[in-house]
Amino acid sequence: MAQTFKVGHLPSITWNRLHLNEASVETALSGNLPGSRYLSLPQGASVRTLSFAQALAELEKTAPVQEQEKYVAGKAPVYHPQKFGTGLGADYEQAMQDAGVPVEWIEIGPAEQEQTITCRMTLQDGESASCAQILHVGENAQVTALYVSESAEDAAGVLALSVRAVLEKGASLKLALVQLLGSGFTALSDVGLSAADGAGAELIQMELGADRSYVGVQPELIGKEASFDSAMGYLANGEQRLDINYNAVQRGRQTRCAMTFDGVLGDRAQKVFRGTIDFRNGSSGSKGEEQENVLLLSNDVENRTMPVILCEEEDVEGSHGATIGRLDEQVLFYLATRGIDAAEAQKMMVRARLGAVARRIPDEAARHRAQDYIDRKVNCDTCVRAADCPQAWNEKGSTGEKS
Amino acid sequence: MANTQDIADVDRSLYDFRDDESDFYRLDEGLTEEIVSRISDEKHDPDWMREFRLKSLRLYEQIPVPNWGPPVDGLDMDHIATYVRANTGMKGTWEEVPDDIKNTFEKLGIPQAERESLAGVGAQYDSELVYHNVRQEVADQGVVYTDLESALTGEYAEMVREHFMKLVPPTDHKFAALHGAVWSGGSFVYVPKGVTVEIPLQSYFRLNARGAGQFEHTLIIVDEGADLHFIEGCSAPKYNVANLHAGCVELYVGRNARLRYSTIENWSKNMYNLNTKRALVEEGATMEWVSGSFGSHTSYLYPTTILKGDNSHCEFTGITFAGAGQNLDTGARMVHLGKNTSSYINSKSISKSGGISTYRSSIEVAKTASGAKSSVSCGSLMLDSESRSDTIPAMDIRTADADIGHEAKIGRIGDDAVFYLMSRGISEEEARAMIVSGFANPVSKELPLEYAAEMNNLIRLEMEGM
Repeated sequence: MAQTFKVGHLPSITWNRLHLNEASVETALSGNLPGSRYLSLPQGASVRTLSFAQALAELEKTAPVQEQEKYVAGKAPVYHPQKFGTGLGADYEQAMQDAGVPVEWIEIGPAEQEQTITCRMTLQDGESASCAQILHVGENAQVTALYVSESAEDAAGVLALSVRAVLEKGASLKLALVQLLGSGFTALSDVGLSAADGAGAELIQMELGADRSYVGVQPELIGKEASFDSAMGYLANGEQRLDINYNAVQRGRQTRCAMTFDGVLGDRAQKVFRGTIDFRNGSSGSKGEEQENVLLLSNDVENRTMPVILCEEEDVEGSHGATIGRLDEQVLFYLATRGIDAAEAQKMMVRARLGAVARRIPDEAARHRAQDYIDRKVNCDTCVRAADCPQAWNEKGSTGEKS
Repeated sequence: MANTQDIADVDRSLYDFRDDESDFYRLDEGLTEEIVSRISDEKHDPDWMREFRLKSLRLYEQIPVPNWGPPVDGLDMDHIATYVRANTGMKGTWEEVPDDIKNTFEKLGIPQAERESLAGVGAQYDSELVYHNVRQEVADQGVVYTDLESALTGEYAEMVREHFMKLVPPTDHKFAALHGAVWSGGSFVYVPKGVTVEIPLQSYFRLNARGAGQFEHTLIIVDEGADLHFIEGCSAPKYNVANLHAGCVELYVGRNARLRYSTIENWSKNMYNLNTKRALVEEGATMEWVSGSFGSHTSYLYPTTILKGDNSHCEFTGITFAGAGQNLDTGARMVHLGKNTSSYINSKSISKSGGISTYRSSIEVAKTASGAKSSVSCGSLMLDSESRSDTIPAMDIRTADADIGHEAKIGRIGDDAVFYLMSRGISEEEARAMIVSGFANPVSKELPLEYAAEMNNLIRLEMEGM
């Protein structure tokens, strides 16, 4: 049965009339794993399957204590009820728990070489599935974890994903999340990370498919010199709705955080982005930056952006920037002088913008699949069902008409 | 490693004096229908205004306190007197103003400023204006500058009724509803078509009474092709109980007109400053806000500009300095409706000694606003780790034909910059003060000289003892 819950809470809320403080999801979560799932773990890694409640209790014993906000823009904490914070938040955690989603606890110790986890989920039309994992990455271990979700292009269903990672001292995690679901899917993707001294996480995230997509990421940089580096690419057209909430909490000394978001919106797509850098007391010498670049291709899109910096430490450097708009007239003119018309130039720029993120996916097959997906959405000449593709890119770029 | 800084609190003796209010007329504390009706009686409101007040009171009772922003728990409306009047009417010359009130404004330098650099002055003391005057040559141009109560029943009654609380309706938020119920005092300005007022007009608001509220309403209409600079100043002595300022400013900028609205806000640090300011800008017109927020215990202040006309433009330049015990939530809101509209926000904030400064804004570009351009730049300076500085901007863009840029930076005074200045023979204290003044320079350079000097003086006082 469908239930409604709130996700992606802004840590410091603002005017309610903007409808940006959180997102509301109406969907039914399932406790089933995807029917078709390929999971590959490195040698030496151990896996235990726990109930959600057991996993949270275990996490509380294993992960460093996270401080709840003492103060949120003058209010008592409005929202932070989780012991181990994630981007989508406590209501999603509760919904997964209520749905009976099992959690795979994966222990990864140090090894001489980088270790790789691959989780590839192929969903069928009408399937509702969940996948929850906790990665405990031991001291100085180096891990790459890849999660790819896909389905037929016009398939519908629900996929609820949850990945939490505890990075011990000096550990390194390269996490890639690639969402290539069909046009009728509701996709939820929730990440929570804690990084001890010298630990670092790199996140590459691509949100390309689904009808409704909710993304949340919360790295907590607890140890000295912990770091978080992320690159996200998204592409939404048709009637797609995308809600993104990144909340980087910097608590350790000399921590580093760099987040970039590159997106393209066409047709009647709607997107909300909340990106927060939160410097807590004790984070002296830390740096945090975020940048969002959004390319708008239709006058019917809705783009809402909230780049937030919260700061209670003097000795920090924080910055954020956003550029939102259409293609630069000068770029179009230059390309026109080279015989490339506006429609083709637009496709080139979309491919270039998202391709730069896709190239960082640490798996060749996944990289190609993401690039093919972008090509299909951008250019229906290469789409296998060009004649009736519901996501055909708008040739005129700004009228909302289908090609 | 970062140096810690020991910074003294501002010397507020210039503003922190009180007058005896024993013979003042003061309504009971609290907010009831009876009190609102008595304010209406006091002011001889026309019937529509009496109904408007009562309707606003009902809205106030229904609308919740904001769930975002600084806490207002210390504000108990049952202990706020919404109407306090000195035993004097409004005067046209300073000589007629009672000595104690005149002395107050003399200490604040208002009569001197009027003589030297202003086209007209309105001085409000608690709930009522005590002085209003405009230079003859400005009046001869057809410029109207009067108290709002007179305008409500005089020649411009219909114009006032047409515009009063239409930009900021009482339904807007709880404190707009409060204002609609108990407003008192404030100014009405009308600048006729094509008239340029060469030197600024100024209103100065002084809240002397303990545990009282000030709810003045400023209504300015700048007609087609006209040009005006209006300055607003405010201060109050400090009490150990909460005072409240919930004023409202409504600005109408006609086609191809220009209005600059400058404010140096220096309320005492027991003040809840819950002020609402909004401008409607027609085709080809320009609105400029210059805003300095230094005082108050708690502030909610976000001047809003509705760029309704094609090719209209707005600039907002603001600085906020939050010291010990202060929680100042300030910023701006731009709403782009017309084609080829443009806006620019340049905001600076400084936090020290446990002060909390929040920059909050929104840029809203409607589907109709093709060709819109907006650029936001905000910088925050943290002077110690007891303080807090938050930046909470929003952008809501609904057309592809727009160019929106936003950048924000937060940080501390760089050791390199201090070292460089010290290597040139400047003391560390002076070097830090110079850097902060430089940081605030984009705002101070937009102010008339006297006000820029006042602002720099405030910053210097805040930075003493570093």
